Amino acid sequence: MYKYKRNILIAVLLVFSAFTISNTFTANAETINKKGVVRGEKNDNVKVEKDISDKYIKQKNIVLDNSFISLKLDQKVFANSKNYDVYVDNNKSEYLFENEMLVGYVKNVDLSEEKIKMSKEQFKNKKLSNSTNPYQDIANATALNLLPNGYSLSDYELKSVKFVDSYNEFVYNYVKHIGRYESNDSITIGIDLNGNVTSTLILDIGKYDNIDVSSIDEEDLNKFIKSNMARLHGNAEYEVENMVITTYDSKSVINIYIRYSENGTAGETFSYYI
Amino acid sequence: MKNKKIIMALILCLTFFGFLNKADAASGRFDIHYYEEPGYTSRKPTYTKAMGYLSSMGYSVYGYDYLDAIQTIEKMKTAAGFVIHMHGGPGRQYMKNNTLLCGKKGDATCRDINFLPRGSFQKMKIAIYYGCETGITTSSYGDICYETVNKGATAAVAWKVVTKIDEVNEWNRLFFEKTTNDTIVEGYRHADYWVRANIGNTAGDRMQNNRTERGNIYAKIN
Repeated sequence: MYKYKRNILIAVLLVFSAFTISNTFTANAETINKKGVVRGEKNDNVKVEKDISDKYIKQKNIVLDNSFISLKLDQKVFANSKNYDVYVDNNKSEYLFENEMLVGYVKNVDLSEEKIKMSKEQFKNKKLSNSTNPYQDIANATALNLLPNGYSLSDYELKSVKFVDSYNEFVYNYVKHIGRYESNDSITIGIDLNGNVTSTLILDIGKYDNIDVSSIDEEDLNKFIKSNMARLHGNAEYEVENMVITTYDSKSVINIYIRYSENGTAGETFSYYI
Repeated sequence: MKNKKIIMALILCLTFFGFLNKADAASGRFDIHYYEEPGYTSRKPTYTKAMGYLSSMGYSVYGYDYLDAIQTIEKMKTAAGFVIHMHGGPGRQYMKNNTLLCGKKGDATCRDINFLPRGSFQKMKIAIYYGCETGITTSSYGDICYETVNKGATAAVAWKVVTKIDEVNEWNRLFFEKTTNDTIVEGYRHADYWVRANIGNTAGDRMQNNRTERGNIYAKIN
């Protein structure tokens, strides 16, 4: 009887051990994906809240391109002074809301090898419409729709049009200049080869319109760059790649992107408060 | 006696199912190399922010702070995944003790991938080279991504521009967030979109429009 009980005990222990070993990694996955209320480290710029508690309104309905879409709150993202509520639809497409305003969406699209190859083949010689640039027409119309009342697309410059070969999308990027500076006030539209809008994003619309760039002391700005480069990188040669008005730590800044040479090529970014 | 047999059968079944359950998960060692320079923005988050996702996929994740090229390439031979975030140059990464990890042997300080036997990286599902201009091909140092895939890695990616540390840290986090469940190309698209939303328009342009991609981007790493 004693021997029988001992065997049962050993068996139970062995089963428990086997389960523990085989499921260690799965358990890790659950810890990361379900438990992580705030992910990241202390000084992170970006934090993601995945566990959405009952204090938030979890559902929302929108009309987009004449379609009625039901959305469910999936996560909250806190990124460099921005708070996004990220909703998802039944197709796992993501919709970003900032202060209850839809500022972008990224559709969940089929990126299988077969689909990508087929699309490339189909559109090799196909013309989307009689327009000389049908994709730009779509991008312009979409950008115009995204802008809130009172804003005009003519205030924006089409900064770049890129085709991302790996996922078959044209990316149209419009930016607003404030005086001689480019700003983070921008519109980005992704369009697939069929002319479907696959993603949109508007950033900081109108946020820097009231900045008086004539009050920026350029001499002081140059001194700031020079002294910080000397402090961090000694006599390393450098060049300013570009300067962009944006937000850092809830304040308007000029982000200065620098390329320098020190043990290879390297980049540095400074934020100059304005 | 009968009880013993039942118990043994039970143990065998459960152990077998346990391993079956694990068969879909990734396994092996995933190496993340970074260089912590005093006074600089930290590159360590390239490791710390990705390790949770990679562990959840089933990898054993290791972070290495500034090894030389010889040590690094030896580790690459047995790694299931490889990320490096250091200073770079066209076709090369700058490593400890003035050594270079290169596509081809551009000079005497190089430890080049081209020299390795075919199949050296056959376990490697992805290699990501973060550093300035590492994705540029030169006749001397070669194409580091092509050479990596040519030695057996499933996919490799690098950037052709000056990269910024905080942008890389975030793009890397977003990439592994997505590839926990999806393919490499879906990881690219997700990270491209969200780095623009989270960090800014300039960051989005830089990371999205300046890549050198080689290998099978439709593969999964999870």
